Amino acid sequence: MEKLVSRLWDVENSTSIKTAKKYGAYTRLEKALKMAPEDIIEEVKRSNLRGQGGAGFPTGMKWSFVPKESEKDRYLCVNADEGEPGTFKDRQIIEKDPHILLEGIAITCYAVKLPVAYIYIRGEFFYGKKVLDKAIEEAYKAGYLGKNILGTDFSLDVYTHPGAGAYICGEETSLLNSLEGKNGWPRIKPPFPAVVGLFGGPTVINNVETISYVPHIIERGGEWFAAQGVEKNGGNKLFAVSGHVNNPGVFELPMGTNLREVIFEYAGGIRDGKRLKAVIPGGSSTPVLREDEIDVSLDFESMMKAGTMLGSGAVIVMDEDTDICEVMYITSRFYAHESCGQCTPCREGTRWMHLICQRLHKGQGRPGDLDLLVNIADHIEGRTVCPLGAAAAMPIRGFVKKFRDELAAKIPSN
Amino acid sequence: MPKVIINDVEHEFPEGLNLIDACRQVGVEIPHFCYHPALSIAGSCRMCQVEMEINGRKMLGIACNTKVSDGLKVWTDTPLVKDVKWGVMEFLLLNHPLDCPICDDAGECQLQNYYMIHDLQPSRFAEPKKRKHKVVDLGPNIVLDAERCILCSRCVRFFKEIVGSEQLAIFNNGANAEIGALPGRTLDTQYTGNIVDLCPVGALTDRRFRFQRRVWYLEAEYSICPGCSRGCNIEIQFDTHHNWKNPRRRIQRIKPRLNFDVNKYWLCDPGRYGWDFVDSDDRLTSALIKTDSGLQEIEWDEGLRKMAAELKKASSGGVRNRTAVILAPQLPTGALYILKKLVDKMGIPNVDYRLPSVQEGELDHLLQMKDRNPNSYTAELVGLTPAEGGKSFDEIIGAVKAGKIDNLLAICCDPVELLGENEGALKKLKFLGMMHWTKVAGVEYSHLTLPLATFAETNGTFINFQGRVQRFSKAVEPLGDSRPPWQTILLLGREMGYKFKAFSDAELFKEFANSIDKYKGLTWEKVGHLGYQPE
Repeated sequence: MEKLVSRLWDVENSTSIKTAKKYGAYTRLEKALKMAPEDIIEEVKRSNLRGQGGAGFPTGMKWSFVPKESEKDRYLCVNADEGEPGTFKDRQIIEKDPHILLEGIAITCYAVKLPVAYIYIRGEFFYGKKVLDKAIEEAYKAGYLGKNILGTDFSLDVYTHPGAGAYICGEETSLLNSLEGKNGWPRIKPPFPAVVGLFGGPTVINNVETISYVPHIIERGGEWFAAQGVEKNGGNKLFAVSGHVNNPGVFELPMGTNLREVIFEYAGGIRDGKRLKAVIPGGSSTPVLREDEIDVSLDFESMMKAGTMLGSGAVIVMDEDTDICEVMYITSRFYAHESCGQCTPCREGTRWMHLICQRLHKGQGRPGDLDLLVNIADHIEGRTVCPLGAAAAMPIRGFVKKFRDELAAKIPSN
Repeated sequence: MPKVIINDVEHEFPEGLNLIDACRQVGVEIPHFCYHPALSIAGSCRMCQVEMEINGRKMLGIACNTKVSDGLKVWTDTPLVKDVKWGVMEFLLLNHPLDCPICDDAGECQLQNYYMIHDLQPSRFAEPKKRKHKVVDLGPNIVLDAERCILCSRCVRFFKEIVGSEQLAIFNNGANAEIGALPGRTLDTQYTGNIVDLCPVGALTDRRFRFQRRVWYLEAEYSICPGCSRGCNIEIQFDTHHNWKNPRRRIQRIKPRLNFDVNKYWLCDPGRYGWDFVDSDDRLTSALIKTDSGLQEIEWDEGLRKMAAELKKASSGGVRNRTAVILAPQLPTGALYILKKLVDKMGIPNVDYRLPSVQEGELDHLLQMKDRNPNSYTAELVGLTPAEGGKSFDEIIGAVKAGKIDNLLAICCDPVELLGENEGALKKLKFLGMMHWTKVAGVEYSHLTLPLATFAETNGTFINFQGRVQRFSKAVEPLGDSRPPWQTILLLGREMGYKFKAFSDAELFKEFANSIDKYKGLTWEKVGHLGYQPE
């Protein structure tokens, strides 16, 4: 396995352009500028690169939805909101190797003909924004951003824009509204951002990690990238492992790595000699897996088949002393707090689920509460404006399904 | 023309039609809250979700954000769609207060209606409800109950898109979301009343209608607003049976009638709330004569005879040049038509309807016209303007001030207001006669006053600034001795000895219509409920 986006993380002064260039930064941009933009899109399609924000949409396909010509201005929005609980991988790229991100942005914008890029960075990443801003300044000075990059017709301006603390603004259309200065409310689709996006013009929205793979695809070719992973899931993935492990951290591993391997080899197994109880495999929105279900391939299709999701690849490991009811309560509290309130099922349903989980956690559960939770979740999922509703519903349903006996035991019998 | 299969029946629709409107056209009602044909798509209430098949893909989707397309299949009543509707209704009713017994909207509330048609399931919510602000002052016309609000955002979108001025917004997120005016402000446009029509529940209430009457007691009659020359189509909603608290208040509220050629779905506030004068204590309900000891009520027939005698004197040979008739074009068409006949027979040259309130042009970009009278078009057509050598309105007023006018007949206007600081000049008049519905200041100077019935109390027609003939119907009985304007003027003429044959507003209208080329052959019946616009 070859490290791609995490190559520089242990190198001293990795954020400076001087160091980055020693490791090949911006040579891939040079190569890309000599290719035809359509060929770059084909290369990315061939690479099977999937969206790394959580939804896993094929990146090349998303780029090809953008009309070749448009009357309104065209944009790239880089989603650096990283709001999914348990996820801290984009942060590493931003804070340790910003230039791979900037190079990826430049190649993407050249390929899809986007003259402006906004990096929407989570407001809490105060330090990360500083690093990014400095790197952008260095890139402008060196001629890799700005007017007529490397002597070609291609010009690109990159800006960072901080968020203000809303999880919902990580959803692509909310991100657009927030960037435009409006309420961070999702938009109904259709129309899709590729056609009607930022300020009404064609817009590509990609995750930080996704964009950071693009230079490597240009360097080694789409076929090579696809071969690093498994079928339909090309290349590597950053896994942010946290929880009751000996060695928490971010690991770059090929798509299709086994979850057991991630937990017990790379993350060093459960700490204090405890036993594994449960794993949330891809961020708090993904259904939980029991300790007997972790022999699963970490790629988008396999995880769906296993009844859960790859999501953002945030692996939260829980040992035998964990109170699942408390985990469910904290999860429900998060979504009730972050619901934007625009559509009926999520606005009312997340609060309802939270109140029930709160009662369960306090030992005030009532018979029928668990079935009620599942039914509320069924009435939310797939019936909302944006996926936050589903993100709130799926974990609750997952906990009730996988740990029903433990939860039921907390309900006082009449 | 796209072919759409709705509930396994194929239909053809014009291109670009919204799916909710399309289904409604074929009798399939898709329930919805946030969708409105005049506003942008919000897609947030989630009530209009139906099962659809587009390009072979079967899915659950919102009908409001779907346009008809060839090959589209729609199912509106499958077990899944039923479950979706139960789910959304349960969520909406979760924190909705049980205010029905005291809520204005009961009886015309969409939440109630959809519950009865699409839900009828018991609620399983057994947690504390979310409390929000209950009686929020949103200006002189609107009171908001934020707890009842289902956050459909129709009101927010209305102000932004139709009025062009953002007045309301949704504050806070999640279950704390509430509608409110922008900080430190209340609503300050002239179209606030429309959000009460738009609100599907009882969150936005009309201050003047709040707690006044249960809607199932209301009777309705179609009418035309007399506030300006636009002639917006309205419905007068009244109740004369449950008036023990306030017997005089017969009209309960005015609602707009849908007319795509005139006012679409909307009404301005001056028009919507401008019906106070009909039931006000200031109404003239009997003929009045001025005596040394002040104004005295007399029998209507006596008033008519006395007025006829005075006017006969005022129109004789040498006198008629010092006689003037001024009127605000607020009378129905039939009355204006017979009035013209009368002043012609009397031979009075100084006649004018063009008061200061008659002006050209639009007052705002939506509905209101600068002309604050509903029937100027008729007055102009019929010719209630000075004869050859006669005085125009400004000249008449000037002549009254200078003492050069002896006899003045003022119809539907206030001579005191028109003379301003020269009020005293009215005392110089040999005869001042008035016909009005309200006891305005000028009545104190008037030798003889005849009471008129208002637009709500008689049948009639107005012609708006576009030449559109629109008819209105009698909703309530004329108060006291007040009579329809056409009747008052026609009987006055007969009393003066002139032969006027026609004896109903409909007959007068027919005569008028046949005297104008573009309205030839038009009758009261032919005008219909949405008006008649000549080519």
